[in-house]
Amino acid sequence: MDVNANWLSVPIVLPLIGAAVALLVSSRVTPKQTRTQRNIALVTSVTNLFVALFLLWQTAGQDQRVALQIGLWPAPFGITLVADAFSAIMLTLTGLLMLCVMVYAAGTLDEREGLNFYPLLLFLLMGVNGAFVAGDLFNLYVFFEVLLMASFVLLSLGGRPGQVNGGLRYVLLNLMASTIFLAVTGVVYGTLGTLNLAHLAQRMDAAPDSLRVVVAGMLLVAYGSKAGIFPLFFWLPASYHTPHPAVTAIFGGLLTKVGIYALFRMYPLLFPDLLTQWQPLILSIAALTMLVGVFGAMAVNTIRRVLSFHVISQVGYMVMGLGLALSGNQLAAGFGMAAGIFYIVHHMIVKTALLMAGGAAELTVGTGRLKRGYLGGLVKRSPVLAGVFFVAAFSLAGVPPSSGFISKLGLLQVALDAQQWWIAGVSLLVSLLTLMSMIRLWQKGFAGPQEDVVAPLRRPNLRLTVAPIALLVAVSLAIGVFSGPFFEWSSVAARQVLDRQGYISTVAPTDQILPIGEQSH
Amino acid sequence: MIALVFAILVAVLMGTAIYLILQRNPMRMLLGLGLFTHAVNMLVFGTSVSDRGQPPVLLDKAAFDGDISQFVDPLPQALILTAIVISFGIVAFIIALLHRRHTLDLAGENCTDRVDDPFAHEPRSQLDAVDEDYEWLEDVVLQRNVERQTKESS
Repeated sequence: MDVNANWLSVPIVLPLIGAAVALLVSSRVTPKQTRTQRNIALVTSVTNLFVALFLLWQTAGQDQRVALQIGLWPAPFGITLVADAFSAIMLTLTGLLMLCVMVYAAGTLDEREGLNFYPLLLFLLMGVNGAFVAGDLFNLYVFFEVLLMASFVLLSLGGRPGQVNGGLRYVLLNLMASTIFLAVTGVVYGTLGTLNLAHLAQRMDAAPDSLRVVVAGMLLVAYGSKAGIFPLFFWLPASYHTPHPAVTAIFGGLLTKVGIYALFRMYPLLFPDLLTQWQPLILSIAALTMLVGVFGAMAVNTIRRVLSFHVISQVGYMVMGLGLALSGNQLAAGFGMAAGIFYIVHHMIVKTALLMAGGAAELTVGTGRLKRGYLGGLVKRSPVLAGVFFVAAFSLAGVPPSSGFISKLGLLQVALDAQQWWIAGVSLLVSLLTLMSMIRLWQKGFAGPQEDVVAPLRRPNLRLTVAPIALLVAVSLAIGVFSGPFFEWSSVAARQVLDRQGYISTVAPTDQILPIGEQSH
Repeated sequence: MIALVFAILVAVLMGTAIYLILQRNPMRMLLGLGLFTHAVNMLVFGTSVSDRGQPPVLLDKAAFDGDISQFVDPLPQALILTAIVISFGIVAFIIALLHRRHTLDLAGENCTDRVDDPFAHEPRSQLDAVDEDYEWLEDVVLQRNVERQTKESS
C-alpha cells in the first residue's frame, strides 16, 4: 500500500506548533496557565504517538520505506526526509517516552513547572523526531542542535548551583561535538559535493580511502560523544544528576540514543566495509564503555548518579551490536544489527522507567544518598514505587522474563556465533556487575529501616508518578514475554538499515536538474 | 593558492581556539568556543572558495549559455549562515549561564574561592564528587583502622 509521504513531516511540525501555541498561552505563567500548557503538550504528544504508530505500521509492518522530498525538489537538491522501520521504531519509542515523562512531570515537578517546562519538552521532541527522519547530513546537524538547545535549557531550568555547573560542562562538551560534526559536513561537501545521505552512499564507494577514514573517524567522534562512548562520555555523569528527575529520565532515555541512532544509520549506509575492518576498534570501544560505566556506577553514591553511569555501560552494549552487525557465521547476516536495535528498544524503555522510579524515590525521601539509613524503608512506605523499581532494575540487569534478558541473549548469541569470545565474556561480566549494582541500590535505597529522616520539600503525587513507570515496566515485560513479534520487527529494521540499495532507490537522488513542469508528481 | 590560505587560517584559528578552551578561566573558554565555531565555519566556507571567482548571479540572462563552471558554489554560504545563527544562540546561552554562576557566587551559594575557576566547586575529582559520594571508601578505611587497632592492642 502506498502511503502519503507527507505524514513524515508531522512528527516535526506538530511538536513545533504545539510548543508555539503553548508559549502563546503564557507570558507570565500562573498555575492555571501551566495547566493549559500541560494539556496542550499532552494532546500534542498523544497525537504524535499515534502518527508515529501509523508510520511504524506503514514501514515495519509492511516492510517498506517512505521518503518525502520537501517542496518537490528532486533528491540531492532539496531537503529529504526518510523513514524506514528503524526510524519509525525510534519515533514510536520517543513518542511513548515523551508522553510518560509528561505525566510523570505533572506529578512531580516543583515550581520549575511554571518556567515553560512543557513547551521546552515539545521542542526537544521536535529535535529528536527530526534527527530520526533527517535524510541529509546538514539537516541531521540542525536537528541535533535543536534538541541540544532545548536540552541545555531543560538541564539548567531553575538555575540552581548544581544545575549551573552541570549545565556548563554539558553545553561546552556538546557544543564541541556538534562543531566537529559540522566540520565533517564541510569536509564531505567539499570533497564529494553532496550532503544527501543516499547520494553520499553512491559517491562514497568511489572516494579515496583516506577520505573515507577521515569522515568515518570524525563521525565516530562526533556521534560517539553524543552517545557517551568510552573516551568521550565525561559530560554525562557530570550533568545528568543535576536537573529535576523528570528531565534526567527523558535525557537518559532519549538523548544518548540519538547519537547511537546516527551511528547505526551512517556506518552501514556509508561505510559498510569499515564495519568489518574496524570491528576490533568498535568492539574494544564497546567493551571499555561497558566496563567504565559499570565501575563508575559502583563508585558513586546517589541513586541518579549510579543510574547515569549505567546509561554509559548500556551504550556499550548497543555499540557492541553495531560492531557485530555484519558478522554472521551460523546466524543470518544482520542478526547482530537486529540484536542491537532490540537492545536500544529495551534500553530506552527500561532506563526511563528506572530513572523515573529512582527520581521518585529521591523526591519522596528528600535525598538520593545511598548512605545506609538515609533512604531505606521505601518498601514499607511506598510499596508500589518499590515494586516497579524492582522490576525495572532487574530488567536492566537482564533477569528473565524481562526484555533485558532477551536483548542480552541476542547480543551474546551473535558474539558467540561470530567467535568473538572476549566481548561475550566482557558483556557477561558487565551483566553480573550491573546486577550487583542494582542489588546495592535495592538494599541501600529500598530495603531495610529508615533511620535519618530527611523532610522532602514536596511529596510527589504518587498516582501520577507511578502510573507512567508501571506502563513502561509493563511494556518491558511484554517485550520479554512476547519477544517473537518484537524481535521480528527489529529484524525488519536491521534488514532495511543494512540494505543500502533499497535506501538509495527510495530516495532516488538524481544528478539531473529537471526544469519545473517537466516532472510528474 | 587561495585554498592554502584558507587551510592555514583554519589551522591557526583552531589551534588558538583549543588553547583557549583548555584554560580554566571561563571567559577564555567562552572565547575559545567562539573561535572554534568560527574556525569550522571558515572550513566550510573554504569548500566554496576556488579559483572560479564569479558570484552565482546572472547579469545578462540572454547571453547565458548554461556554463556554470565559473560560478562559486553558494550552498556552503547558506550552511554557514545556519551554523552561525546556531553557535551564536549557544554562546549567548553560555554567557547567561556564566552570569548566573557569577550571581550565585556573589550570593555566597557556592564555596568557590576564585570566581574565575569553573571547576572550583569540586576540586577533587572529574566526577563532580561531593563528600557523600565517597563515604563508602571512608567506611572501608575506618573498618581497616579499627581492625589494625584491635590487632595492635592484642
